[in-house]
Amino acid sequence: MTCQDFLDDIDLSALQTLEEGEDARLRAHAAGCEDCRTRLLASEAMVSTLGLTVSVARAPRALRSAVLDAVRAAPVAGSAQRSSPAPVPLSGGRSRRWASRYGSLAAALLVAPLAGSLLWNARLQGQVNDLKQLQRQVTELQQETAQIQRQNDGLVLFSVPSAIKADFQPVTESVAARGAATWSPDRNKCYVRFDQLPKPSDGQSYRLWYVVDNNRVVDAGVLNPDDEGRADATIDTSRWRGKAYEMVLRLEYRPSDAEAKALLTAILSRPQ
Amino acid sequence: MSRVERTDEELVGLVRARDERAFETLYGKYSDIVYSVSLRVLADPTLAQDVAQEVFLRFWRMPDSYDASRGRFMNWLLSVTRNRAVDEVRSRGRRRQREVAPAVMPEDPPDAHAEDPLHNAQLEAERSAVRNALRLLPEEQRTALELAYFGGLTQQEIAALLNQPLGTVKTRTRLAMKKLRLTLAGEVGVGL
Ligand SMILES: [Zn+2]
Repeated sequence: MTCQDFLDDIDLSALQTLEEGEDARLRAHAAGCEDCRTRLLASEAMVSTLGLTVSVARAPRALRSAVLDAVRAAPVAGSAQRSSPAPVPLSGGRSRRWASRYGSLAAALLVAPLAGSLLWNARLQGQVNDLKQLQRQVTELQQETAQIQRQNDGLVLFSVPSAIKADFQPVTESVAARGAATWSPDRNKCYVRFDQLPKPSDGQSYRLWYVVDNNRVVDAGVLNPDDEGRADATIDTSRWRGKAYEMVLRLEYRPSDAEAKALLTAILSRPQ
Repeated sequence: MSRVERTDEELVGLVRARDERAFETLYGKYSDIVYSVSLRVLADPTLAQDVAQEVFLRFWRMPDSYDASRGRFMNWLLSVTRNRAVDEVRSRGRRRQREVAPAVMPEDPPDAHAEDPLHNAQLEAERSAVRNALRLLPEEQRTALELAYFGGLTQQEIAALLNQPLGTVKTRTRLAMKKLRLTLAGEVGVGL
């Protein structure tokens, strides 16, 4: 595609009114051409001003309280995550293992030269405690980073024009929890997030499943919601070759608990 | 209340530092327009409220999703709202209702927090510039543009809906955008 081809359709792309394939070709050009990328941004800015032409309705007061109460309930976004256990990554806590490995290595390096001397015992103990504290902070930080990385993945996937999106639907009406999945076949990733998951009782956990080709049911791992019932995860979909996938979130006592109830389901289908 | 006027970008900086009042100020400035865009696309007050809520809360949770180097905050917010609402329309197949005009809800009393005469005057000037530019477009071009922007329809869908060749619809949409760009150049705060 030449820059001229791109310019012909730039406004249609900014309006997001092209078919996905056409749009993907344009976006691919923009990704590799800074001039066209800048032009596309300008066009998108102009498109956004069309929103100003609506007849302005007063936002309901209920919206105000819903938004501001939620903000006040979690004044510091990071603190809620810091004080509660971060969700375990579905891929299995690699960051935690790294933290403990590097933590132990650092401890060993610090401890070895001092170990022989009783004189140093008290100070050593203090340093080991400091180190443990540091190690905990590193672990927390890595968990947070992993979570931010997943959220960024989710945002990026959400903005990929060809991404396939689906909301999780509750299986019964009594389920208040909500969720959404964004799958980008191009990037081989699927990002899922849930809100308002009730705190699981002792021994119970949330587990996500998906049905892959040939109706094989695959365990995508455990989700640990934070204090506000939020949990998210990124799933590797590089082996997804089928047309549609069903994802199911269940609350179960153990993996493959036959009695476990499905709470939410979502269907992700490739376009025709 | 002290009236230190801060720009949106400054307020966004404060939101990044988790300043609730800055967030509240931005909410007060833009909640009506965000809700109205969402309502226009979705033609359903409940869904419109859900989308507006999601847009604001996502901004609170992830203020870095707005990148000032890519344009003004208001433009970004309107884009996010419109795109999110269109996604909702597309996923729900609610396209048939898009022509319904948004109703101002008389039972909903004005939100006193939303008042900011200076800000409203600026927004009002900008709104009237864009509305006038849109009014200057030939009917068929304006229709194509509105079906794309508010209806969330693809060019092929518009062609089918209007029973016009795809090439004709694309030409109308391109021309509409070109004229808007010429009319609005320098009038609204977008780098054109
Ligand atoms: Zn180019």
